[in-house]
Amino acid sequence: MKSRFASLVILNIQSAFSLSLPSWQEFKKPKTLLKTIGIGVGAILLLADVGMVFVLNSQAMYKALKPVGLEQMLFLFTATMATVFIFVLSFTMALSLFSSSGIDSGFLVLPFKPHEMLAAKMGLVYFANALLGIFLMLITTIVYGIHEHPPFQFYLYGLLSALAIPIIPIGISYLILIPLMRVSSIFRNKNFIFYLAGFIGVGLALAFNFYIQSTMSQMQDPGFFANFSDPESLISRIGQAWIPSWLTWKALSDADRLWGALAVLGNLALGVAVAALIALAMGKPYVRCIQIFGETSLTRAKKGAARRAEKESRTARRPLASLLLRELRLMNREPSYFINGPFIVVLMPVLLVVIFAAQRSSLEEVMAMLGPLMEGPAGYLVPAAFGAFLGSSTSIACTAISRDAKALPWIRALPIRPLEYFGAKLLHAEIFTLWGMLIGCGAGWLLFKTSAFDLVLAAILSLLVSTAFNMGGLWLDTAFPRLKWDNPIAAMKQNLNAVIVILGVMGIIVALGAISFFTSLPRNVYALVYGAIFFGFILVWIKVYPPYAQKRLAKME
Amino acid sequence: MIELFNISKTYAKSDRKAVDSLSLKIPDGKIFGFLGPNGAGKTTTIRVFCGALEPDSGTVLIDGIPMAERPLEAKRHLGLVHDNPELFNRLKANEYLNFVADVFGISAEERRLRIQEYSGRFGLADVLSASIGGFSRGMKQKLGVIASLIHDPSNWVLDEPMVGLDPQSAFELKEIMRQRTKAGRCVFFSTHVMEVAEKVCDELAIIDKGKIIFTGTIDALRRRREGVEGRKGAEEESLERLFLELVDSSRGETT
Ligand SMILES: Nc1ncnc2c1ncn2[C@@H]1O[C@H](COP(=O)(O)OP(=O)(O)OP(=O)(O)O)[C@@H](O)[C@H]1O
Ligand SMILES: [Mg+2]
Repeated sequence: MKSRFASLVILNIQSAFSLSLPSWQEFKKPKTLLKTIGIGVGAILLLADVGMVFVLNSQAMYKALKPVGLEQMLFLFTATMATVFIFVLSFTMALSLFSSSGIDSGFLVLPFKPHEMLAAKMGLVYFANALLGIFLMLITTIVYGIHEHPPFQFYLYGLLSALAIPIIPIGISYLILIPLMRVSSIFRNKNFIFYLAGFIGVGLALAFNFYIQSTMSQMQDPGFFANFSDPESLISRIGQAWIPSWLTWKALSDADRLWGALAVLGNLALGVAVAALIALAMGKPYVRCIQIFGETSLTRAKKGAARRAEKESRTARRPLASLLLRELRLMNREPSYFINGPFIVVLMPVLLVVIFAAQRSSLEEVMAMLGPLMEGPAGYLVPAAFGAFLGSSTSIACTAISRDAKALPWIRALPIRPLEYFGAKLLHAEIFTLWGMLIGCGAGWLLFKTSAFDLVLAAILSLLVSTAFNMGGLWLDTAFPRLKWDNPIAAMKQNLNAVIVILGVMGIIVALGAISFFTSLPRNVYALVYGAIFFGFILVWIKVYPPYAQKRLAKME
Repeated sequence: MIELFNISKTYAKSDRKAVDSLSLKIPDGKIFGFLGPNGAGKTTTIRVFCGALEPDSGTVLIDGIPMAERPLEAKRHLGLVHDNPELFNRLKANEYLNFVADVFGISAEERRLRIQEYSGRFGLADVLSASIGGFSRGMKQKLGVIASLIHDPSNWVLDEPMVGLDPQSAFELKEIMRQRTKAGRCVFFSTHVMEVAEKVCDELAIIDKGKIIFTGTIDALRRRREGVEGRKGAEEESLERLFLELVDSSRGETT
């Protein structure tokens, strides 16, 4: 019974992440070895990069809390932050993994109990989020450990608490999602519900962002702590709100006492109990959802539809236009692609308006403070950076080939020019580049009253940067496409190329921002220099990529 | 006409040849069957000569056009029905067919007529505006067949076309095959069911472990057995058995 459940979890994990390490035989080939080492080094750099932010954060918090003797509050903050972080991530992950593959309906015919199937799915989401929890907790325990030299159990309890933290958020994600999905069967429109849930996910992410920002600004205010003459009262207040955080705090601050051990065990037991309850309660409706999702509606043509179909079959398009249309349809109709790709960028204007309306007064304060800065090159660099980031964060180009993995033999058997094939993919990404540029410039104009000249500079820069990143991403996915997967999400969100490109965009934009801030060249020279760099890359790409891609397409198998 | 000279293909993640120095000439005007057990290399061969896979060595000529040098032109002379109809569940049938027609540069009028004709024959006419995701396996298979005929190719290649088809659709498919060969076109299909081959083919080739072990007509296959075994009355023996023995004996020789 146990092993059956465990094997279901493992199968889920393998199929969702398409984990397959090269065999020992393959490691002997220098190419595979180099590639593996390369990916390994890249992964470590990436982790270090992201970890740095949290290390600095923990360090700053420790420094702020130590003088008032509240340094152990660090655990409470980390646990709470990790909980919220994991909740947002696990919610979107649970959504995109909800039932996008035939695998789930395959399990329906196997002798699994409903709650086992749900628990196994939760196990899959847990796997990824536990890694994140451990990562965040580890950073805090090490930062604290370096300063305070706690006993060995401290680290052990930290690890165990990290394992406990994700359980309840994942359970809650399913508690929200399953009824929502059940309702969708009334609408008979699954995609709508996916988009709605995606919207909720973005809302949660936003709320999380506000939460972090407000606690951070409160913490910088010394009066914040003075309000709580008795530290216990503050801790118990947060603790009452979220018991697992309180238990984590208890476990780590009393690591050398029996209390600590009890708190860790209690935390784990609480998590398992809540998750088990949710699995038991929601198992049946979950399985019903999977069944409904297995159904696809087949509508026979009515008069009007038939006429439209007729009309559709009477339009002949040029191959490039047809390829582009196919790209757009396949991307936007697959919820797990759409939600992790264009969705946020498309929604950005809506979110901006919401933020603007909600935080108008404080935003205006910030604007006034930034006023002098915006007189300088920041006047066009900031909107350009915003537009460039939006324009290149859709993951369209850098997952273009991976998403098409299953269709490659089909594509290659058709008389399609490789350049048109890749060109359509780039064009698809460029649509969002244009959109990102419009939003970046629009925001600049709205918030900073950016001048027309600056807007033109920002538009050109943002187009150049995003285009360069789209081209680079397409290149990356042509060179290292992810061709073997069961679940479409593996091609999109769990695609290393997408991670590299998003972090690459952020990294380069931040680096250029820092350079611009710390140097003082004439105002418009920055536009010239940065523009030239990215334009140079684009020229190199135009020269090198097409012949490479043409050869590479024939060799993909 | 499709000509293959000395084709070899080894998959990158494999240590044995999926297709091994294979040469084959598929003439016009005949239904040509391609037989072999699972994993024999049928799909690999088909993918190679349709330009979906690059061979390690060898030459492919489609109506005399070399696939390696002029792939676009060669591919325009081919219509391929894939072995796996599971593709593009998010597209509507019409969108799929139109994409293929666009790629082949078929005029709007011409594609309308062909879609109308074949969707009528296969009973798909009233689901063309529906999403492919809601199709049954056989419906998807038939949609693939329609797509492969939209440009009226001179060479029609089908990988396991009978799988999942009901008797009526299978009959329709065989009818189309016969009509095309009568008009002097080339029809090539793979199967691992001898009975199908026996009923439909004018000529056949048998492949095992990437190598052709027989080419010729069904009668020639029977005669060959008689010759080898020196036995009469082989007519009565089922071809299925013949096929199995042939594959067995070729394995005995190679291993
Ligand atoms: N993508 C691939 N990667 C690696 N090896 C492959 C791949 N596709 C097929 N093979 C191998 O190539 C050989 C021939 O496979 P192929 O698909 O051509 O056989 P087939 O005759 O079409 O079989 P079936 O009747 O099952 O369709 C098999 O040994 C198979 O394992
Ligand atoms: Mg096959």
